[in-house]
Amino acid sequence: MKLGRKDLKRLRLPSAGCLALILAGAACYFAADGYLQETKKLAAATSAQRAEVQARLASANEEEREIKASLQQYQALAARGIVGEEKRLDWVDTVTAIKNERRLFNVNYSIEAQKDLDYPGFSPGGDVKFMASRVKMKLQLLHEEDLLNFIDDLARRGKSYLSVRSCDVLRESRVGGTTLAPRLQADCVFDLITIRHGKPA
Amino acid sequence: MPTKRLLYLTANRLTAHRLSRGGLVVDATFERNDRGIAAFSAYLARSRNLYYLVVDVVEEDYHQDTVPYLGRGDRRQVLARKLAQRYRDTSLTLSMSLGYEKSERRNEKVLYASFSNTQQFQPWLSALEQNECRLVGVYSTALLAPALIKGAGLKLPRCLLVSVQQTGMRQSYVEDGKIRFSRVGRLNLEDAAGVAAACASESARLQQYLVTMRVLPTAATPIDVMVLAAGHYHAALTEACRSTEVLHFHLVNADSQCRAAGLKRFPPDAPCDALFLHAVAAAAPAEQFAQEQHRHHYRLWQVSRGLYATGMAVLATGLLFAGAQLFDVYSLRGQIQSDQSRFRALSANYASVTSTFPPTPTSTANLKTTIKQYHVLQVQTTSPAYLFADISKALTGFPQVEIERIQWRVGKPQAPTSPKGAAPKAAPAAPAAAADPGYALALVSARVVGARRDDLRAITDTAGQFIATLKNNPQLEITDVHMPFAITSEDTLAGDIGSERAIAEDAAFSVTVGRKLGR
Repeated sequence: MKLGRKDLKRLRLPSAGCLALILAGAACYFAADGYLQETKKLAAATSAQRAEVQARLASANEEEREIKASLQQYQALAARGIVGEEKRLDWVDTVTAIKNERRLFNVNYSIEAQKDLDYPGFSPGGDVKFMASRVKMKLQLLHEEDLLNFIDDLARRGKSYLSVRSCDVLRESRVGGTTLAPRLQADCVFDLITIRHGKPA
Repeated sequence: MPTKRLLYLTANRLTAHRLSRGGLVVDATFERNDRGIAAFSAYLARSRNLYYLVVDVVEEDYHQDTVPYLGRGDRRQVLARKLAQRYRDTSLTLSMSLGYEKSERRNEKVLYASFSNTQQFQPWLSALEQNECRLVGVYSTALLAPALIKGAGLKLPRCLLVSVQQTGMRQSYVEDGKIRFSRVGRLNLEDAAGVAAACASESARLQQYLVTMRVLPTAATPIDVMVLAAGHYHAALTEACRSTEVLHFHLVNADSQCRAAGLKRFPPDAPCDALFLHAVAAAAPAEQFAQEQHRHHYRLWQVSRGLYATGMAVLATGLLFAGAQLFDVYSLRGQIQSDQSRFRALSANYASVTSTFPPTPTSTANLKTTIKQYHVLQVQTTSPAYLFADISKALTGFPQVEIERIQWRVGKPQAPTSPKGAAPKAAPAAPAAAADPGYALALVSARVVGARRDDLRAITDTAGQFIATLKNNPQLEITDVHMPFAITSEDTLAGDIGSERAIAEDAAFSVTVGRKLGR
C-alpha cells in the first residue's frame, strides 16, 4: 500500500488520536505508579512508627529502670553543681579554701571564655551541651603530693567537673638548708566542664 | 462504526443491500446505463460505509495449475506472472492455493480465477473510487459457495453446489472446502419442472466435465450435490433430482436456510442471492478479486482503525496496570489505617505506662544523653596521680636516679624519635576511632647521680634498668626514650677519660610513659 500526501493528511487525525490515547495510557500508568510508590513509602513509615512504639512499649520496664538509674546519677551531678550555669566565683572560693587548708605557696590562675567541649565523641548542637572553660594554673609546691592533693580536692569540691589536661612539674633549683621554700613548680591546664540543657522537660 | 453495504452485481444491474434488524433490505437498484451509474454515484456520495461487491456474471474463468514449491517473494512473482500470461486484463484476478502435491517435489496446486470481461465492472468500480468508498473486496458467488455448503451443515469432501439464482443456475464445485470450478447456465425461472430437470441433468453433465478436466480422478468418483433453491421449486426438485451411484442429491430450501442463518427478512424472489450476500457479510473470505488500487480507501480506513486500536490498547493496558496498582494502593491504605490505629492504641498504652515513671528534671532523651555523654567524658579524663604513682613505684629501687621534670598530659602519643641508646618498646598504634579516649602521657626527665663521668657502662645500665622497671608494669607503655649517651654505632660517642670532672653532671635521660585511658 502506497500512501500519498493526501492520505497522510487523512491519517493526521487518527495519528493524533493514537498518540493522545498512548499518552493518556502512559499518564494513567505513571500517575498510578507514583501514587503507589508514595503509598508504599507512607506504609513503610507508618509500619516503622508502629514497630518503634511497639518496641518501646515492650521495653518500658527496662526503660523505667534505666530512667531511674540515669536520674539518680543526674541528680548527683546536679547536686555537685555540674548541671547548669558555671559558678566561677564559687570555684575561685574553693581554690582559695584549698590553698589555705593545704598551706600551699602561690597559686596563679586564669580562666578562659567558656566554649563547647570538643573532646572526641562530643559535637556541638543538640539539646544537651557540654561546656568547658579552660583554666591555666601555676603552683609552687613543696612536694609533688601537694599537687595531687590539690587536684583531688578541686575535683571533689569544685562546682564543675574537673578535667586535668596537662601538668608540667619542674624541680626548682636546689635550695639548701632547712628554709621552707617551694621545691617544685607546676604549670597545669584544667577544663571546668558544666552541662546545659536546651529546654526543660 | 461504519455499516456494511452489500452490492450484488449482475450483468444488467447492481442492487445495494444492507443488513437491518436481522433482515437483508434492498437499499436501491441501479440499471447498467448512464443514469443508473450516476444514481449509484449519488447513492455513494459522502458515504462512510464498508462496501462488499458480490458479482454474479457468466463471464468468469477458473483454471487449476501447479507451481514449484517456492519462497514467499518468488511465489508472489511467479503467480503474478502466471496470471499475466493467462489473462489479458489482470485487474480482477486472484490465485488461490489448493494445497501441495504429495510428490517428492511438493508442487503447489493453485487455482487461478478471473472475470473474462472486466470492462462491465469499470463504471461501478470508478463510481466507488470517485466517491472514495471503502471497498472491502470483490467476490464472485462461486467464492462464497464453500461458506453456503458449510452453513447448510453439510460436511462433504466433494460437493457440487447448484444454486437457483436470478441470473440462472450456478454450479460451483467445491473440494476440501475450496472452490475448484464454477459456471452459470440460463434458466427459465418460471418453469419449476424445467428448473428441476436442469438441476438434475446439468449436475450429471458437470460431473462428466470434471472427470474430463481431471478435477475428479475417475468417472465413477461419487460427488454430493447440494441443490439450493427457493421453496416453491422443491416439489419439482424432489421429483427430478434422484440420487445415482455418482450423484448424491441434497435438497436445501433457500427460504428456510435464510431464516436459519438469522435473516428475518430478505428479498422473496431471491433467497439464494440473499444467502450469498449474508455469507459475505458474516465472514468475507480472504480470497477476493479486487486489487490494491480498488481497496485503497478501505486500507486507509484499516490503518486509521489500527492507529485508534493501538492507542486504545495502550490506554487499556495503562488503565489495567493503573487499576492493578490502585488495587495495591487500596490494600496498602488498609494496612496503613490498621498500622495507624494500632500506633494510636500502642501510643496511648505507652503514655499510660510512662505516666507512672518518676518525674525527671529534663526530657527522658536529654537525661539519657547527659548520662551517656558524662560516661564518655569520665573515660577521657584522669588524674596525674596514677601515672605519678607508677613512676614513684619504679623509682623506689633506684636511689641514684633523680627526677628533674615530669611533663604530664592527656592526649595521643607522638611517633617515637630515633632512639638514642637502647631501643624502646614499640609505640602503640595511633588510635583510629574518633572516640578513642587516648592516653595519659608523662615525659619523665631524669639524671643518674653519683656515678663517675667516665663510667659510661654504669650510667647506661642504671638508666636502662630504671626504664626496664617501668616497662615491666603492664599498665604502662614506653613510647620514647633518650639515653644519657649515644652508644649505638649510628651516633657519635665522645668521652673524657681521666678528667677532673669525675662526677657525671650530664648523665641525663628521658622517657615517655603512657597509660591508656579507660582501662
